This record gives sequence, structure tokens and C-alpha cells, in this order.
Amino acid sequence: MSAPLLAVESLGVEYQRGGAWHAAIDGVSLSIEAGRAVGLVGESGCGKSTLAAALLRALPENGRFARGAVRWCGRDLATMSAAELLRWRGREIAWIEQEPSAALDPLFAVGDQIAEGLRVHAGLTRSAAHARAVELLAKVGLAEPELRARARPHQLSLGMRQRVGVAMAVALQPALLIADEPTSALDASLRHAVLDLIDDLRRESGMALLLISHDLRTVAERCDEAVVMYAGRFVERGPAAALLEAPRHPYARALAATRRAAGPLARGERFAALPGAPSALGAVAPGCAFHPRCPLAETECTREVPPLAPDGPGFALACPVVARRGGRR
Amino acid sequence: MSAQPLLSVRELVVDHRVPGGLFAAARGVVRAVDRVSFELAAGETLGLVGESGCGKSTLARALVGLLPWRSGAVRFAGIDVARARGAERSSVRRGMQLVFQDARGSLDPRQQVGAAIAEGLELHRLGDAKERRRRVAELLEQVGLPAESAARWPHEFSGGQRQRIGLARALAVEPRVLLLDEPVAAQDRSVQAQLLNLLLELRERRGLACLLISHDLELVAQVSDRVAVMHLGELVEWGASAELLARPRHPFTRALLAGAVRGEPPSPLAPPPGCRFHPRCPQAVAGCRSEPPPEREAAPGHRYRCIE
Repeated sequence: MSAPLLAVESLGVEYQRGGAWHAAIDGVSLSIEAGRAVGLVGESGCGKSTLAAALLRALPENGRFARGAVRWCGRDLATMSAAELLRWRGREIAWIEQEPSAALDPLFAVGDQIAEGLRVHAGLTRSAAHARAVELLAKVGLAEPELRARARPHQLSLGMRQRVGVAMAVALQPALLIADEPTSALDASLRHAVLDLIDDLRRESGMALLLISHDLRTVAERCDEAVVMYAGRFVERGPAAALLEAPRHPYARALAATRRAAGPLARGERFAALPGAPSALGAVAPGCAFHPRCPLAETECTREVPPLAPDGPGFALACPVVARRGGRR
Repeated sequence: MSAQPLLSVRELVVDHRVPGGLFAAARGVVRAVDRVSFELAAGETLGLVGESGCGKSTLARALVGLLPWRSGAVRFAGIDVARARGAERSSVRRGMQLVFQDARGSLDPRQQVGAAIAEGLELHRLGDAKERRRRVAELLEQVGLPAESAARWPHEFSGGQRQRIGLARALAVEPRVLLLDEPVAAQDRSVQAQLLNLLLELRERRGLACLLISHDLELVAQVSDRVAVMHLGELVEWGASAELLARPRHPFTRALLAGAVRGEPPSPLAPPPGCRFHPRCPQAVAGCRSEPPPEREAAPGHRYRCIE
């Protein structure tokens, strides 16, 4: 069997704050096969974006790799030179951020920005790169792509900018696309349009996807596998649609339950809300990090970090309390 | 419903001038809000729904006096807002408070949270310094933040917490109408539920009327008594939440509910003739391209604008 496209092995990432190092990612393992879509779900601050940055070897200055490895087609990224990493980031892997403007230079026409990558990484001539950029803009559904190619980012709507971001990310036909909350700034109609667009591109090119989101439902609709993350650890994983249907970890259950009331609320009725907030860096609760907010917490939960253990075919769960109550049906 | 609504908006029109460039004349005028009418009773919640850029935030900003309107009339508690001066004007300003979508952008990073909340109290000369401090502590607790937060800075708080600070700030002057612009859109699902529950709590306890602005029709219908749907500056359908959710009539409302609006809205600089939704409407017929759609009644209080 060949190596997966991307393999993360017991990865630990730490951030420095106030002179001390604190774990932001605490021993997670993940592999993404070519063409597969994996969704990473959790609240803000759970470590999702840190994991994305670690995969790209683009941690901020106050971050460091504490342990583990990230491999691309079997090769440890730590052994790549800076030049190799640059080439790899340009050609093999692409990243879409939450706010498309972050990836776009306000001073240059968007068509030129797409074309630049094509010239540098794919060696296209100036005119071929421009033609391809226009083609890509048409492909992501912009009307009048010739005209739009000459627009600066501020002349486009938010939805158009996010489409340009997608066009730029997929221009070099990467093997893996990392999309970090690509749609949370968009309203419902644009959200569907952008996710449909990514789906279409995946069908055509066989691109793999790591979709990062705080919404379990979005991940279930778009991904093969879902991974639920809390305080830098994976707490449950499994086939995405089935996991949304029957989440087992109390945290996953809370994520799936939020705001699912049907129809108008009666007077005095409330939304199902998960109390509290995720633990801050350096203040992660001992044992299971979720126990201070967990309705099922027992004394044992405060003592040991529960391991992510197999929980039926294709599933894994890091909650001994739920596991003891019976297996996954 | 009482004889006189708390807030009444008649045929409101708000224009934006679009600059053409450094030396060019204005490129045009965008009619961001086009003859919008609605009423809000005391204690009632009206949900205003539409896509990004449809004019819903502009409407809210105009209502609280942050933007001028071109024509139309707004009455608050019987006062003609455009003509109000002196004490009347002050009571209008105090009575309607807007909570901004982006609590990061609306809080001054160099102003401590307590001072930000007390600003409205000072402006309206409510209480002395000691009473204001006590009131700030009380407000912080009401929105679920520790009273000590008053001495901290905006950057020390998460997005959800900043949203709570914005809410405390609006509540400080004891308004009768709260205008909430996408109060939860920027938050995680879990934080959304907490914030919404807080809003429901405050609304019930204080008998506040709310204009809840959001792109999320499902959410709005869950917490509002009535819903109005806005498309490219115009209201296209309005009615009681349960009725509208069960029997949506306008194709745009139906598409919103199904999460199936395809394509981007047309440019507000050059809105299409006839029904402005026709280029994206699955049911459009020839007449939709030329005639503005007539207003129809689906049920008492449930009206929509469509040729069908």
C-alpha cells in the first residue's frame, strides 16, 4: 500500500506565552488519502487553525513543534529545505482562509495575482498565465471574467473575493486543499455556492480536502470523514454523515444539538446551549479537558486524559464514560 | 395589538452615493432602502431577513440616525423622528439602540469596557459617577460577564464576550427598542445559542421590542413574532413567523428557507426592471421582467409582492 497523501503522527504543537510553553495541539494523528475529504470540527480556540498552520509548516513565531511528525507522501516535512517547502506549498497543497482579503494584495488586479502563481510555479508565459487566470475566474462562476480579472480586490463583493480566493488556491491543481472556515463570513446562498464550487473542482481533479469548520452539519454534508477536536485533542472521529446522525462524545453531541429547535420558540423556551467556553491556552483542565462543561463528568474524568479508542468500524471515541454504557449501534 | 405602534416606518428611502474615483463625479446613486414600511409594537420582535448587501443594515443605521434618509417617515412613540428637537430628540435617541454586528469594530480599543458602557449614561446625563459605576457592574452581570470586566480592555475578550459588551452598552440607557444587526453571525454555533438565550431572557424580562436583522431566515423565524424578507432594498414578503415558515409565498423566501438561493444578487447600482428577483427566480414569467410585482395578501397580515 502506498503512503497516504498527508500523514500526521502524534503531533504536538506548543505556543509560548508569558515565558512558558503551552500545548495547543496535544498528540493528534490523522491521515488523508488522495481524493478524500476530511472535516475538522470544533469551537474557536480548539486548535483547528493551529493544526492547519502546522500542516503547512507555517506556525507563527511563538509556536513550535513539540513532538510527532507531518509526512507528505511518506516524506517528513521537517527534512525539507526552505526552498523545497516553498515549492511544495505552491504546487502540492493550497490554503483558503476565512477572510479572502487576507490572501489578496489590495494593490494588484486579481487576475494578475492568479497569473503570478502560474508563472512562478508552472512556468507559464505572461500571456498564457493571464489567459488561464481568466479561464479560472470563469470556472469559479464570475460573470465577465475578462473584466473581473482587471478589478482590484476592493472592487469585488465579498462573495466574489472568496471565489477569487478559491480560483487562486486551485490554479495549480494542488493535491490537497485546506479550507479554513471558507464560508463563515458568507451568507447562506454564497456559502452553498462556494462549497458547491469546491465539490465540483474535487470531482474534476480528484483533489483531497481538509475542511475546517465550527459547524458539524456543513462537514457532514461535504466530507467523507469527520474529526471532532477539543482543546487540542481529537475526541471523536468517524464517517461524517453517520457521526452527525449519532454523535457519541458529549462534546460532539453538544455541537450537533446547538440551535436545532424546529419552528418558532414558545415563550420561555430556550435553545440547547453548551455552557461555558473552551479552555484557554495554558489553562486546560486536567484529565479530559471537556470535563468542566460535561453533563456526564465523573471523578475519573478529572484524573486521566482519555485515549482515542476504537468505537465500532471506522469510529473512534475518547470518552470511557460513554463507551462503558454500550457500543455504537 | 395596541392602537399606536411603538415604531412606525412609512415608505422609507435611503440612498448611498457611489463615488466615481479621485476626480470623477459621483458614479451613481444606490437606492439601498426602497420604500420600506413596517410597524413594531411594544414588546414585539420583528425579524428582518435578506442577503448580504440587501440594505438591511443600512435600514437599521438610518433608523438610529447614523445615516440620513431621502424620503419617508419614521415615528417613535408618536414622535416624528425627522422633526424631533431637544428633549424629544433625546428621548428618540435613547429609546432606540443599535447593537452592531462587529463588536470588535464598534468598541474603541483604547477605552476600558466600563467606560464604553457608561458612555451612553454620561451622554444622557443619567446618575452621578458612583451610580454609573454601580449600573455598569449590574449591566455586566446581566449579560453574563463578571463585574470586574469593567476595568479590562476590549482585546482581552473573545468575540462572543465582546458581543455581550455591545449588548450591555445598548441596554445601559434603558431603550424600548433594540436593533440587533446580525447579533450572532460571527460566532461559533455554541456561542450563538448562549447569546440567543441571553437575548430571549432580556427581551422577556424587560419587555423590549426588537428588530432582529439576520441573513438566517430559520433562526429569525424561531425567535421573532413576525418576519419581513428584504431583497435588494425592497420588502418582498412579511407575516407572522409560524405562518410565513409554514406557507412561504415569494420564490425568494422559499429559496432562502430551502438554502437554495443560487447566484449572486444583481448590482444595486443597476437593479433589473420589473421584479428585482426575476433574473434568479425559477418561476419567472415574461411579465416579471417589465412590471413591478403587485402586493398580494396570503392571509391576514401575511403579504407578499409577486406576480404569481
